Amino acid sequence: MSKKIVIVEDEVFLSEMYKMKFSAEGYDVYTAANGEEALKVVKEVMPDILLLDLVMPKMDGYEVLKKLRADEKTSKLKIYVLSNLGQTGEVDKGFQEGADGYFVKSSMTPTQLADEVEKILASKQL
Amino acid sequence: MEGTIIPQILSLLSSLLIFGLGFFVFRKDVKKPINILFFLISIVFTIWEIGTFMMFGAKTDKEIVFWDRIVYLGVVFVPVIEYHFSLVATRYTSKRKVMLVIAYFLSFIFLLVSRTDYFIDGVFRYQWGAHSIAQIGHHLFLVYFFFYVFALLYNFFTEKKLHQSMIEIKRINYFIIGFVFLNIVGGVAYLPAYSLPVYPFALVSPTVFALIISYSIINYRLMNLRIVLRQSVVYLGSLFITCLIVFIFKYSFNYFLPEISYILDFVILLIALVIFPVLKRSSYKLANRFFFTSLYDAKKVIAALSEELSSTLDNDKIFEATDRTLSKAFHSKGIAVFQFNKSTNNFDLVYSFALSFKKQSFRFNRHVMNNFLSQNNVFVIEDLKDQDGIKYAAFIREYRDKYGIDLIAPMVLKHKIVGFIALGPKESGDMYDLEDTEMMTIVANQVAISLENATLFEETKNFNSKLTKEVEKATHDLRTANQELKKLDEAKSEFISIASHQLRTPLTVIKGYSSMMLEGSFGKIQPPVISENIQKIFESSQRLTNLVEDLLNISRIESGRLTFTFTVDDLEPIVASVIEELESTAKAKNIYLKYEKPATNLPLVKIDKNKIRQVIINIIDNSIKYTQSGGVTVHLIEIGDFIRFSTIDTGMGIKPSLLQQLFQKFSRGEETSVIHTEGTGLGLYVGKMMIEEHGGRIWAESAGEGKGATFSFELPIAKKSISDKQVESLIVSK
Repeated sequence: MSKKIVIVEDEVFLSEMYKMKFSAEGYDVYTAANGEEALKVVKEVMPDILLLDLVMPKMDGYEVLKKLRADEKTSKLKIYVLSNLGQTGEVDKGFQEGADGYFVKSSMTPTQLADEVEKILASKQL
Repeated sequence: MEGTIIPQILSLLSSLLIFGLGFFVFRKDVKKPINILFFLISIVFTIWEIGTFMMFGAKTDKEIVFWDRIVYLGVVFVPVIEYHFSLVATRYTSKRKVMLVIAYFLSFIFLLVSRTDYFIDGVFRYQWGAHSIAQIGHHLFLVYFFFYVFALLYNFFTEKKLHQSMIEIKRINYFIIGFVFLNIVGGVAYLPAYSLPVYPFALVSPTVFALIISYSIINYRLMNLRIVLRQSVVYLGSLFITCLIVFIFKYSFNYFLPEISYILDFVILLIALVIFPVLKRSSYKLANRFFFTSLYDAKKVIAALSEELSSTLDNDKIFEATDRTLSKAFHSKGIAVFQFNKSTNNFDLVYSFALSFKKQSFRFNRHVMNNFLSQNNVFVIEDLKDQDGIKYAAFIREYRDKYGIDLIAPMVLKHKIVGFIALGPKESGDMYDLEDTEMMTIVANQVAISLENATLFEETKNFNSKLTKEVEKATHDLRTANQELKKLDEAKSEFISIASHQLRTPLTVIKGYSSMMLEGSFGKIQPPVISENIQKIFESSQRLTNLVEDLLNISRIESGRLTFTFTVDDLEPIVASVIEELESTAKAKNIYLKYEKPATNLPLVKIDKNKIRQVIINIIDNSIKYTQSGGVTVHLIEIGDFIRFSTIDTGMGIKPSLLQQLFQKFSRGEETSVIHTEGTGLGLYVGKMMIEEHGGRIWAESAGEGKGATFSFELPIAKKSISDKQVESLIVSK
C-alpha cells in the first residue's frame, strides 16, 4: 500500500510541483491550499506524513500545528514544516508548536525533499 | 578751722574735674560754639572753685575778701555765658540777641562793681567756711542772675516743644536738668553772703552739671557717660595712688634719712613721673575687667555670630541669626536688613523685626550713598546733623523720625554695596557708641559674606536643577528616538523576513522545476543544448538562494540579532553534503572539485550547523566561481586544537594588497567585477562574522595573480573531557 502524504501549500506552482514529484515517487498525494482546508483534509485522509507551509491565507501553519497537536487523533502525526521562513525565531516557533522537523523550501530541490521524506518514513517503519 | 578741710578738698577736686571736662570737650571740636561756651563755663566755675578753696583757707579778713573778689571775677559772667550757651543750643532770635548783648553789658558792669565795696564788704565766718558780706551791688547782681537763669530755662522749654525726635527732646532735657541743678544748688552758695551758714555742698554742683552737659553736647558715641566715668575714675584713681606712694616715700625718707631729703624731692618726682603712666594703663585694664565691662563682649558676639552664620546657607536663617545676636548685644528696639537691587538701584527690604515700613523698596539720598554706604562707614543717623544738616535733613526725617532707625551699617563686598543693616534705638536709651559701630562694621561684613555665599549656593542649586532638567529632556528625547529606531528596526527586520520569503517562493519554483527537468522527471531533454541551459538556470537559482541567505544574515548581524544554536557535531558530513550539492556546478564549468577526506574520524566541533554550512557553501562556490580551468581541492584536517577547512584552487589568484580587504563588507577582487557579476561581495564578510562567532579565524592566501588561492578557516575542537554541563556543575560546586 502506497504511503499517504498531505502537502499544504498555497502557491499553486509549488503545490503542483511537489504533487508531481511525490506522485512520481509513488505516494498518494493530497493537497490543501490553506489552513482550514489542511485540517479538513488531514482528518479525512489521516496521512503518514504532513508537509505544512507556514504562510497561508485563512489560517497559518502555526495555528494548524497547534490544532492538530491538540487533537488526540492527530497528536502523533508526523508533521514537517515546509516553509521559506528560515530565521531562527521562526524555526524555533515551529518546533515549539510541535513540528517534527523543519525544511526550508528554497534550500532543497524536490528530489532532496523526497529523499528526506523517504528517510523519515523508513525510520518510522523501523 | 578744722571744718573747712573737707569743703576745701571738695572744691579743689571739683575744679580739677570741671576744668578737665571743659578742656576735653573743647578739644573734641575747637570750632563748635557750644563746645567753646562749655569750656568758658568750665573756666568760670574753675575760678569759683579755686577762689573758694583759697578763701576757705584764708586767715585774715583781708585775705577772705581778696579771694572772694577773685571768685566774683568768674561768677559775674555766669548768667551771660549760661544764657549764651542756651542760645547756641537752641536758636537765636533777634529779641534773644538783644538780651544777650544786654547781659554782656551787665556782666562787665558788675565786674567793675564787684571790685568795689558796694558789692561785697566785711566777712562772715561760719562752721564750714567763710564769705564776704553782700552789699547793694550784690543784691542787684542776684536779680540779674536769676532773671537770666529763668530766661535760659525758658529758652530750653520753648525749644523742647519744637522737636519731635526723642533724641532731641532727651538732649534738651539733659540741658534743663543740668542748668536747674547748677543754679539752684549752686545758688545756695550765695546764702553765706547774707550771713546764712550752709554746708558748702554747692561746690559739687558745677561738677554734676559739667558731667551732664558734656555728656549731652559731645557727640554721644565719642564720649558717653560710661566712658567719661571710666576715664575720669581711672585717671583720678591712678593719680591718687601715685600721690600716696610719693607721700609714703617722702615721709619715710624724711624720717629715716633727713640729711639727704633735699635731693629726695627730685628723685620722688622722677619716680612719680615714671610710675604714673604705668599705673594708669594697668588700672585701666583692671577697671575694664571688674567695673566697667561693656554690656556685651564684642569678640564673643562676633564669634557667636560667625559660628551661626557659617552653619547656614539660607537667607532667612542668616537674618534671624543676625537679629538674635544683635538684639542680645544692644537690646535694640528693632532691626531691618535691606539688600541692594542692581536692576533698580534701590534697596529692597528683606527682613525686619519691630520696625515697620510702608514700602518695600528704598532709594537713598545721594550724599548718604556716597559718603557712608559706598565707603562702608557705619553711621548713626543723629550724627548726620553735625556733618551737614541741610544735605541730610530729608533723609534724617524719613529714616530716623519716620521709621525709627538709629544706626545704619552698610554691607559692602569687593567695593560694591550689597545692602545694609538698620538698627532701631537701644531700649536703654543710650546712643550707639564707638565700640558699637566698630562691632557693627565687622558684623555687617560677616552678614554680607554669608548672604553672598547663600546667593552663590542658590545659583549653583538652580543651575544644577536646570542641568538636571536639560539632561532629563535630552534623555527623554533620546529614549523617544531610540524607541522610534527600535520600531524602525523591527519594521526593517519584518520587511527583510517577508521580502526573503517572497523571494524564496519563486526561487523554489525555478529551482524545483529546473532540477526535476535535469533529473529527467519530464522525460529526456532533446537536444542536449537545452539541458545545458536548464543546468545554468538551476545553478543560478542555487546561487540566488545563497545570496538571499547572505542578505538575511547580514541584516541579522547588523541589528545584532544573529542568534546561534550551537550543537556539538561532526564537520565532515556537512562538508560532504556541500560538495555533493556543488559538484554539478563544477562539472558544468568543466573544472574538478576534489574532496580529500580525513583518514580518521575527526574530533567534534561546537557549531551552528546551518550557519557553518552556509560559510562552507560560500567558500567553495567562491573558489569555483573564480576558477576557469583546473579545479578546487577541499581539505579537512586536524591541526592542534583546531579543525581546519581549506579550499585550494587553481584560479585567478589574489594580489597581496587585496588579501586584507577580501573579508570586508561589499568587497570583491578589483578586476573580478569585469568578468563576474554574480557576487554581492557579502559572502566572505558573512563568513568572517560567523567563524569569529564560533571562536575561530578565517583567512585567504595567494602566491599572486594567476597563481590560484587558498581559503581557510579553523574551528576550535570541542573539549571532550569536560562537557558544558560538567563545567557548569564545577562552577556551582565551588
